[in-house]
Amino acid sequence: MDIEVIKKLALMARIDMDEKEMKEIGDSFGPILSYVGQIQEVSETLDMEHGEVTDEPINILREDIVTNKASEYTDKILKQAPARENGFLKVKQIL
Amino acid sequence: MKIDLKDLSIEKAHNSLKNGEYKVSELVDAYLEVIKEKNEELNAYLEIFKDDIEPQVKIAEEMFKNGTATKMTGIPIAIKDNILFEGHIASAASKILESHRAVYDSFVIMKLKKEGVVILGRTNMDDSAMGSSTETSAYGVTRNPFDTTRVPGGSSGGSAVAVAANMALVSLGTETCGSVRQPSSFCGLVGMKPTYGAVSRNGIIAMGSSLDQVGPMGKTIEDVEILYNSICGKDALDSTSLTDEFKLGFPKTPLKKRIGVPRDFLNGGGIDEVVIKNFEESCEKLKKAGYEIVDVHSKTMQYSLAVYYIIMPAEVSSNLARYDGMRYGFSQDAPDLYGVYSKSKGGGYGKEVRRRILLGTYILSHGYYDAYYNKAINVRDMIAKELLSIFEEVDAIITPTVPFPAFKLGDKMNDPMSMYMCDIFSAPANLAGIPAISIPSGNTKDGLPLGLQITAPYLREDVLFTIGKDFEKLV
Repeated sequence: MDIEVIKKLALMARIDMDEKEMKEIGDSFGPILSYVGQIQEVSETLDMEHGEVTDEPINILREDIVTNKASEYTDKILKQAPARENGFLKVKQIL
Repeated sequence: MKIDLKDLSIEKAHNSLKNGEYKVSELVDAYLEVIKEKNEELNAYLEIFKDDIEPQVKIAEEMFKNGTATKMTGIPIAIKDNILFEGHIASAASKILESHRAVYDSFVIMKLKKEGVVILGRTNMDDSAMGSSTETSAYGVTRNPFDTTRVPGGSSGGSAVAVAANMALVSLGTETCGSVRQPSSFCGLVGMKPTYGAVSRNGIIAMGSSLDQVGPMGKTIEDVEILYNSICGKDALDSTSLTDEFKLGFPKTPLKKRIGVPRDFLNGGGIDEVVIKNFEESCEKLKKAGYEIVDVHSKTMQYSLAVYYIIMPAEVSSNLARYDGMRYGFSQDAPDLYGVYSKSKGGGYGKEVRRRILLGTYILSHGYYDAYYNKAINVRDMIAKELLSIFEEVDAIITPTVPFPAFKLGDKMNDPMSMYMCDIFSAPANLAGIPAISIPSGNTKDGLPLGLQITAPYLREDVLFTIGKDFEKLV
């Protein structure tokens, strides 16, 4: 795969990587995409020998309620952040 | 007293603890002794929870004293490094989570704590569970105790080696596709992937959320069954966890005593001769145990791995986006916001993880989404439906667990596609959400373990245990 495509993907995924690795990943995509591409052969109307089974997924919903106490985890979670201020995460300027 | 750890089972240990032949502390010390002796070479554990073992032992001993002990009480267990245990590092053997400390217990740990197990430590795995050999770990390779020049399988390689080398009685691994069954096969163990939703994923570091499940590993079917019964159950914090009411829709109907072999699928699997020969012997053994072995035909199973390598990277690219260097885990400073993201991700994700994120990003991008992702979702549905229809004729489907025995360290690291082929027989169960187990089926002439995989319909783990026990008696 063209290295320019890999560069674009890395940019979208926000991963810093060198050109050598981009080339390596690009080269490995060839065999992987050709392998997974075989699903294109599968016809949507594949005639199944065993007959049709209908088994549709169902939705599982719950009440929209808070299940933990206020601030139960806040300190523990914030403690792991590299930078924080007044109970917030501190990040670089966004705009 | 000297405890024979090699042939120890949960039942045996439980009886000895109950009868006072030895105490929980003595059992735990026996395992710690082996860990001290072997872990440096094998690298099964990334960390032993030293300060936390004594309090756990005390709780277990108290439960024996006051009569509330269960079979799991006092049982020394190892957990994979992607299972959250409050207060402890859970890094998924990745650099990007090297400093991540669990702020709550996963559902499975909550369940096990209630029974008073003794969690010895966290085990090595492939980086973020991506790999089939435990070689992509950011913390060094794990070695197979049957031949230390070979891989233990993966991604739950450390959990497999901990049990195989008598460094824990049982262990927990996780699967997205074969990561419990394949290392179990390579290390001579029993390992099971439960029905999707049977065990809560709450507190498990996510990889492919529509595929992930926690799985028990042990030396015998019975040990795996006991551990499975301890960890399964409905959890309100995992919307895909199954309710008891739902489970009633899958009654434990009596066995037909008929097992299917998907010949077409096997023939396309690139299987080693030694594996196919062992598999035919396993079929003969099952016949002796009173099962009818019949060929079943599938038009879709052969596409399982291709479907998996579309759906999994797509889910990976979305799940792992949360590691941003700003909230927890590895962080690399940079002058601007984008720089913090890209340097933290670039420096934190392992090489295979980076490959799969880019692959998922590609598959989900405009213009390719329909051809890959949507098509894969459709074929996944067809695979599941075809499997269900096959199960109208047979109790279970059998295949070898892996097409080959444990390979040499380094052998497949430069050829991702050949590494991915480890999972060829694992993929159908994860895609369909049905349970599957790997059980030891003998050894190669060099003494490398081989495994038989049994797959059953939804919520019929009991079928796996019944057939597995019948088979176990004959090996």
